Amino acid sequence: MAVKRGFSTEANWYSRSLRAEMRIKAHEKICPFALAKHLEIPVYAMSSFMGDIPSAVEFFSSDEGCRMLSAVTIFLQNNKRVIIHNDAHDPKRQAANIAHEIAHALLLHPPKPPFDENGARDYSPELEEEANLLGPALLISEEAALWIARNGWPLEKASQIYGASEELVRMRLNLCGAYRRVNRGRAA
Amino acid sequence: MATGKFDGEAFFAALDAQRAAKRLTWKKVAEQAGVPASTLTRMSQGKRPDIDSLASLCGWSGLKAEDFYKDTPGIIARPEPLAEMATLFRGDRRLSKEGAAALETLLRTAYERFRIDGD
Repeated sequence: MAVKRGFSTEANWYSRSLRAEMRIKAHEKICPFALAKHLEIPVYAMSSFMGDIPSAVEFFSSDEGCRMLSAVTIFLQNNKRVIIHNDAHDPKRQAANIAHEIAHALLLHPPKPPFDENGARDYSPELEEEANLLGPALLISEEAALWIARNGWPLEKASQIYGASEELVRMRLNLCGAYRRVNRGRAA
Repeated sequence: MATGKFDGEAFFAALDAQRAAKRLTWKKVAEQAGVPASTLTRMSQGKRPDIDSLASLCGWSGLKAEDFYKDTPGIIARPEPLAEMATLFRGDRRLSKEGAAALETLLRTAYERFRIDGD
């Protein structure tokens, strides 16, 4: 599903603006936990529920369960958000999951019931697509993508530095046209 | 003169109504009002705006801050049944029966915990 026109520019604006607010250079790594704290959004690890509901936590820690739950935002009274993330995922995946939920919060996406009337997961493709674009843009800003391309870092190195998966870094490099822009700048 | 506590929740709801009427994104609201990118999300989390941001948002919207002072606390809503719980979810859309049950358990427990924590 296509997002609205100009959304990439909007995503890059959020990423740049939030780094400036947090006094982080535009191309530098941002910690999603610190960003959530800056936005006043509490983040809880799923494992913190182990004492209360061990079988559910163990299920979502299994390979099958990990695929089913990455993170969930719940809305409390007064519509306050709380993020619960699956900390059985590897740290880079956790970063992406939390960034995705933060993206929903920045765009102030409205909540939905967890299940529809048929008991299936309720799902809004358009809102998910926006979060699928903004989440990675928060981790790898446009400036970060250009920085990676300018320095000629391999994906593995960029992934380590930014705490994001190689797949996510590649996606952002492509979406920002980073190599093309850097090469054009060098040729000029 | 109005006295009491500033009702940030009502102010935010009024802003949202204006935003919707003008068919703007929250980014546009932040830009046009000249407030930082995080301000509106932080307000939605119950954080009160700083005085400059409040003035800017009043200027942008035409709302008056004094209209949002309240003398008595608002009515606190009671917890919702699961069907009315509000979530945004990241994971595979195709939940197995076991997955759906585990998710329901997690959500119920989380709501219970955060209610006890006073949120």
